[in-house]
Amino acid sequence: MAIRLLAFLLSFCSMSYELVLAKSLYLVGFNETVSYTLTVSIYLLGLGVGSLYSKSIVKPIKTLLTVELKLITVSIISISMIWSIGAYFDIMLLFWLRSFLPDILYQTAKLISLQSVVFLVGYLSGKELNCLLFWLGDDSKDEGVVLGLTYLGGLVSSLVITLVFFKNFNELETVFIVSNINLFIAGILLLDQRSFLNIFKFIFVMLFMNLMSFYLPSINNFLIKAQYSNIKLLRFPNLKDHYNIYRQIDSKRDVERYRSKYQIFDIVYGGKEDFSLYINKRPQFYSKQIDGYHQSMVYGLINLSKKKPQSVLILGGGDGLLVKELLNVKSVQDITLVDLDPMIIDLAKNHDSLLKINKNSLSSEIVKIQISDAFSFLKETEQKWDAIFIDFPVPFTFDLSKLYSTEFYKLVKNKMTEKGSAIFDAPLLIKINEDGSVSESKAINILGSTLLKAGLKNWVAFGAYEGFIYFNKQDKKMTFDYEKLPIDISGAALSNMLTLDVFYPHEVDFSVRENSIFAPRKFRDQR
Amino acid sequence: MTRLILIVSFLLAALSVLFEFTIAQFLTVFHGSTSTVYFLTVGFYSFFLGLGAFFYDYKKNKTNRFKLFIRSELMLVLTVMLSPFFILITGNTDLFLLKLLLGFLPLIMMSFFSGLELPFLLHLVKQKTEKDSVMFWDFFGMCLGGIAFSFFFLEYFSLFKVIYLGTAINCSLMFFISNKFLFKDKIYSNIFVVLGSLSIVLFLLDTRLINLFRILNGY
Repeated sequence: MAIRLLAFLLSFCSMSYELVLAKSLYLVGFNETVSYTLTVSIYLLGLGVGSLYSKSIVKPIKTLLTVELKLITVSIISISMIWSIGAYFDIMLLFWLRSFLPDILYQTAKLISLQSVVFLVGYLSGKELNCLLFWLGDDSKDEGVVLGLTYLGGLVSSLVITLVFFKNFNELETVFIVSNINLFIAGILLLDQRSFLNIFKFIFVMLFMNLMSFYLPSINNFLIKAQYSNIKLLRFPNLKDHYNIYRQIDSKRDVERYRSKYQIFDIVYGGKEDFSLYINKRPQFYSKQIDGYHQSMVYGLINLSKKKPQSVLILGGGDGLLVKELLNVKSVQDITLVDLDPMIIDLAKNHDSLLKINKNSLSSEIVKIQISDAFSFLKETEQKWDAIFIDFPVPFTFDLSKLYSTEFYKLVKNKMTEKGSAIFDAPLLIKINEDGSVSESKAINILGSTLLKAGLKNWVAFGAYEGFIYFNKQDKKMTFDYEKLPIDISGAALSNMLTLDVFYPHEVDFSVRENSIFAPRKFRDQR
Repeated sequence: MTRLILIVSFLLAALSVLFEFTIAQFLTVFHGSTSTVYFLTVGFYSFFLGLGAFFYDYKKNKTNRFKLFIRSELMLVLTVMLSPFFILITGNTDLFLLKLLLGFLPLIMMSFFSGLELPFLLHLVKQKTEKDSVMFWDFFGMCLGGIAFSFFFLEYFSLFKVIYLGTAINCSLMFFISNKFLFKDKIYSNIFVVLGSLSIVLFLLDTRLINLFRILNGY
């Protein structure tokens, strides 16, 4: 009975670590799908190697106790290890390694270093299972039941961790809770294996856990600051460099982190007043540069459509900055804002720093807020709008690339009035090369092909530094009429309103496969 | 013989993981959140893989093991081939829980049939060292299958292409095995020829399938 229970609990813990590590890797900046699939693969490899290298276990309970204590130690620091390795590569090693390694090898080195943590946890978990099987003995009929409970533990873990833990705890807290289960198991095993050395090891690990529970939150705060520090060392790091960079990072203000069911919001302060908002570590805006972006979008659409909209739909844009700009347009009578995440709406309505820049726009009487997935909303609604503003995050992940797909643009097209128009943020049009020069990115052709397959043949791409694509259902050629722009428009927005010739419909290579929800494309390389 | 078992073990494990992730990616199209779908997929996959292994253990003495293996592979190929259509139909159900449970059904079935593979292959080798090698190549195949999915297939292939290329390879492998070991019973190898050919046709019809799915899904 004890072995059965152990099999279930150990597998629960092991799978939980794997899931937490996969999530942490994603937060280091890897593509969501890549980090999940890769973590599962490397974890399985570790599991295989772990069971391969524990062929003959003479004292399975003693070995299991040792493995448990090692696993607790590794898992407690695993999240910080992943963040540290990520930050160390980005801050200390980037320039030095890139001076002699091509980008692909640099990224591979980083990935292997990060995945070594996953491999180690997988390896120890593989040993655990073998210990249990040796404990059972060769002739036991319980082998099948033990294996079954191991698999069941994995299933329960994936349900509990995904549906309960990730919604209520952060990665560090989850690891602490799970490693306490491991510690409890180690305590039970210790009752059978009481020796001075084992008791010493157990107490050591317990003290280590307590010490880490005290220090890890502040270590992780430091690591979060490090991720946003923008500091890069230009040479191979020596000891003094480590100290200097530590001091520089430590002197920065703490990052404000908010977690929702869907994403992580980081507010990173520069000076006293200015700050940047990041969602899942991707930059959204810098408070000193909001006018250029939002005015380009609002007045770009109005100027190109030659029509002032009355009804407006905003997809995304829960920060309220686009609404703030639209409230200045007198013709606008109603604004529907659709955002998936109630957390950003809450921040936009209540966070002092955000309220200062969005002027509490979301509290306006003409603004209707819908908490919904844009895709589902467009599929279900019967309403049509004069202007549709699409303000989504850059499609780094396959999840987000759905919002730049043929299927999505078809829905948008169907929700525009006959003379209606739409605009979306497309910071994908240009690629900054390693030497600092700018060229068109592969995303241009994917995006062009995607729009065409959605039945949109008339569009204009513009933006000297913030890329946008405007489209409507008509056939007329569209150009900016600069004289009709408002006189109080910011210089940043005005200088951004330059059409990009390379993205005229006739310039695009339409033989390129479009981005579809059934055949997702990655718009920008991101490991 | 052992080398053949190792190759088969490697290929089947790689294909199994490839199917797992492709079905998961399909599920994200209809169920949203990538992380939730992937994490649940990992749990369901490992559990039903184990259940499949149990089923093999339970059945091994009651039936011809080769036939059991070949039949389970047949079911696996059929499940995977039909999975996009099944996910599409259930994905448009309004009831969330039903949608979620039914959506995962192809994945559950696929994992279950995959679970029968390893115990069968382990049964074919006698020595402990050979069993360890089979286990290693199985884990290694899973690992490479996962890496190939994220860095190659997802980047360059549509989801339909990955599925039908996978089933075509699986059918070829099973055609070879059933021909070699069940040469008296031609029915299985013939079925695999039909399913393999159908997979190739569906692989080539990729763009049309995408359009069909768009229409059926209301785009």
